Parts: sequence; structure tokens; C-alpha cells
Amino acid sequence: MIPTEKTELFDNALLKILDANNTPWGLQAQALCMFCRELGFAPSAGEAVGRLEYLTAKGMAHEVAKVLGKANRCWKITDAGRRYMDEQGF
Amino acid sequence: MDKPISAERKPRGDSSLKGLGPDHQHDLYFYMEGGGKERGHTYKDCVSWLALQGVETTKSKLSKWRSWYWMRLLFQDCGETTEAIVEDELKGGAMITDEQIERKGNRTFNLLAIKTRNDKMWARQQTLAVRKQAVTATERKVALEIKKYEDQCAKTKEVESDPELTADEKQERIRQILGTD
Repeated sequence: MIPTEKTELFDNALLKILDANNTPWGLQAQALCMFCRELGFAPSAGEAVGRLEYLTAKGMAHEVAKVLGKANRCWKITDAGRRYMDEQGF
Repeated sequence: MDKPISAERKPRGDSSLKGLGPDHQHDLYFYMEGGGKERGHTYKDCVSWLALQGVETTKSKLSKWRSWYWMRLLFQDCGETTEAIVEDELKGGAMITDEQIERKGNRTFNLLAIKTRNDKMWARQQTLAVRKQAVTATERKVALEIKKYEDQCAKTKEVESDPELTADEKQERIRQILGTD
């Protein structure tokens, strides 16, 4: 479980992974969780989805292929997300 | 040395490393990590290397860039493989909609990313295990050397305090103990 005080760092980690993905394909929560381990987090898929939904609401990430089933939800970073990462020095 | 700025993203003044041209970033990663017979370099070396090319940065920025670039390379590989798989399927005459292509592509891409990441982690763990073994062997060797030195010191003291031996005999015995004959 991600402690509340580390939520912002976890959000940054998710954005960093999304930012590294420069392909036409989106990233699923399971893949994001695996890469989060590289950055010191071990979230559940549910936790990752929760934060991704928050980042989507903030306009920093967007969900691709919304027509697909819930199991195949994928995310990509937005320009606003990239800008935020650059501003934060990531 | 002037390098072209990456066309992939609009660079900001405070993201100089991500904004470098793709070739420049590749060179930096190669310089940092090494490859083949080429040994890698420390962050300090990399900062100096970049400074020579007119790029000012810090060790902390390099560290952040490194973990980002590593993932970027991995995603790039997986993305290219996924595109090739999807293309093959289309060439094979499969009648699939854009939505199905996207679904298959995303699924394949994610599975590849997870697998590649696991393979890399496995390789890292193996490297770590080998290094750990090497450290243990060195520790054992050092412990043996210390023991040998202590034994020699004890024997030397014994010889030096023996009243029945002459000075020359003592010197000879000590030389034998230290193995300097």
C-alpha cells in the first residue's frame, strides 16, 4: 500500500514511466506496477488505477481506447503531464 | 559539438538531457553504461564529458535521466516488435478493425514490456549474485592473509625472544618464516 505522504512521489513515478513510453501504444496498470518497482514502489493494480484516474482528471494522463473492456485499460501521458515533469526536473 | 535537438519533444531549458538529440542521448547512455569492451563511466565523468560538449548538468539530473532513458529504450524495443507483429497480421490478410488492432497492439506491447523488464531484472539479479560471490571470495582471501600475517608475527616474536639463538640465526629464522629467502 502506498502511504498518503508518498502519493505525490508515486504520481511522479507513474508519470515518469508514462513519459518514457514514446510508442503509439498505451500502458496498462499491470505493466506500470512492474516498472514502478524500478522507482521504489510496489503498488497493487487497483492503487495504480486509482492514481491514474486522478492524473487523468488533472489532465496529465489520458486513457486510450476507452471502448475496450476494463481489463484492457491503457494510459498515456499528455503534453500537460510532460510539461509538469519538465517543470519538476524529472 | 552541436547536436540536433530531438524532434520528438519540445525541450525546455530545465530538461536539457531529455531535450538532447536522439543520437546524443544514445551516445551519452553508451558512454555511461559502456558496452562490449567499452567500460562505463561514473556520473562525475559523464558531467565532465557533457561539459566538454557545452551541456551543463548535474549528477542528480543524470541519475534521473538514466532511469527514464533505460525505460524509454525498453518501450521502444517493445513498440517496434509490436508494430512488426501487427503488420504481419495485416499482411496475412486478417480482417480486423482498427479497434481490434489497437486492442491487440496494446496487449502485445504490455506483455512484451512486462516480460522484457522481468528478463532484465533476472539478468541484474544474476550479475548481483556473481558479484556477491566475488566479494565473499575476496573476503575469505583477506581473512586468510590476516591469519597468515598473525601467525608470522607470533613466530617472529618467539624467535626474537629465544635466548639460545645468535643474532644471525634469528635473522635467518625470521627470513624463513616470512618466506623472503
